Amino acid sequence: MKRLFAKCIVMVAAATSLCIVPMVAAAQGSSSAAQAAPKKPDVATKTPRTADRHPDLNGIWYRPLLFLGAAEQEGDTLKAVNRPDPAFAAAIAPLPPMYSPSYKPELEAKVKEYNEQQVKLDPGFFCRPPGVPRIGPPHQIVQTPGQVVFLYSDLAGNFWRIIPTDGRPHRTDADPSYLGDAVGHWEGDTLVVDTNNFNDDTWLADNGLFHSDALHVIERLTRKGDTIDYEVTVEDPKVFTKPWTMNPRTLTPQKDPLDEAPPCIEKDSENMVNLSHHPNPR
Amino acid sequence: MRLAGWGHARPEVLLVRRMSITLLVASMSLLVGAAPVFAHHSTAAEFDMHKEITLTGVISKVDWTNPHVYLYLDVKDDQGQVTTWAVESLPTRFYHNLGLSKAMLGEGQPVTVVVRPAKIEGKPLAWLLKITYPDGHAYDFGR
Repeated sequence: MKRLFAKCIVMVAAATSLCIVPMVAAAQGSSSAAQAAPKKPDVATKTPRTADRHPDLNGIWYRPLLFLGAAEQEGDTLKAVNRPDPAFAAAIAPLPPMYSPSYKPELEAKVKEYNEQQVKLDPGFFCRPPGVPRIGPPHQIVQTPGQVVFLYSDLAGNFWRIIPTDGRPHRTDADPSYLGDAVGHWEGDTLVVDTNNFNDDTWLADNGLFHSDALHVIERLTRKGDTIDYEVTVEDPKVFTKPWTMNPRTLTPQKDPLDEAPPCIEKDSENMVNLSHHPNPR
Repeated sequence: MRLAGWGHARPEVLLVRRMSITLLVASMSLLVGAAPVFAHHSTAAEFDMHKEITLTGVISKVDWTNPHVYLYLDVKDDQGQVTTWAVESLPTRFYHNLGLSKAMLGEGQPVTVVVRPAKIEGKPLAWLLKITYPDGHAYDFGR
């Protein structure tokens, strides 16, 4: 089932790419033709800035991925239409090696076992907080001088991260936690968020990707015009042979306000008769 | 999205509650593998992907929760015995994406649902495929 589902996604992604590639090629062609023309300032893509001259990251930037894309009305019936979001397809496609985590050889069997036993072992299946980086990009950002706040309306609940950007160091008095202790600083136009002091009660993603309490996550957010490039590097010297650079994402402004997440209450596990599962990207 | 102005069933059209379970044609070739997976867990782990049944009853409660919304459907059999079915559905964000809300599911409404029954035999638990209200409007969540 999972394999068939993945095949469907790959086919959709392939079909989408067949449509998109010529469009991109055409756009690039016209772009090349236009290079001879005098360059005008592109006001639409100018990066907005706050009063302290940092890029303005305020806004709603991300919604968790959904497979189901749309609804259509047929007579008296509202029908859910399977119109996969290309971002969803991309999120569940096999990662190229450069974006895959490198576990220590002696831990690969554990990852495999955790993957196979996912519906029994994944804390995320039981409504535990997803933690960082599994929670995904910030859904909304509130930026003030000396502090940035990330807000999330997640399947598992409502979460926030308060990130000082006034130069203070990490706290040393906090208990390890799901979202860790974050501090931020600016490197040019990029906000760098450095987070440590995690507990080990989360996975990094689906498929058995566990971590240890040595987890250290660095997120880089670069606003470019109307988008934010979101890049994540995950360090965990206890389980990885080298830092894991996750596949980068481009965030775009979202028009819908964040909804308060309803309670997450797991009721399925007692009714499941096998271990089948599927990707759950955020 | 043409949902504005959609009403719920009028109280005066309350139907006689009775159990009507009908096993529908279950074409394996159509059902197996064709189902997009909406659920946090695989629906195939919990529900019989080869069967569809129809239940008629009254929505006694809606649990607006994640990772799944649940409807509780009171279904009365020919002897008047009421069985409460737990009807599992999509996460709340899917409903929002379709323009549907908890209120639109209509606690207290008489409805007919097409569902996949649980693999645990005899358990009044099912996966929601389609829900139809007495005035004819329906929400079809697909296979």
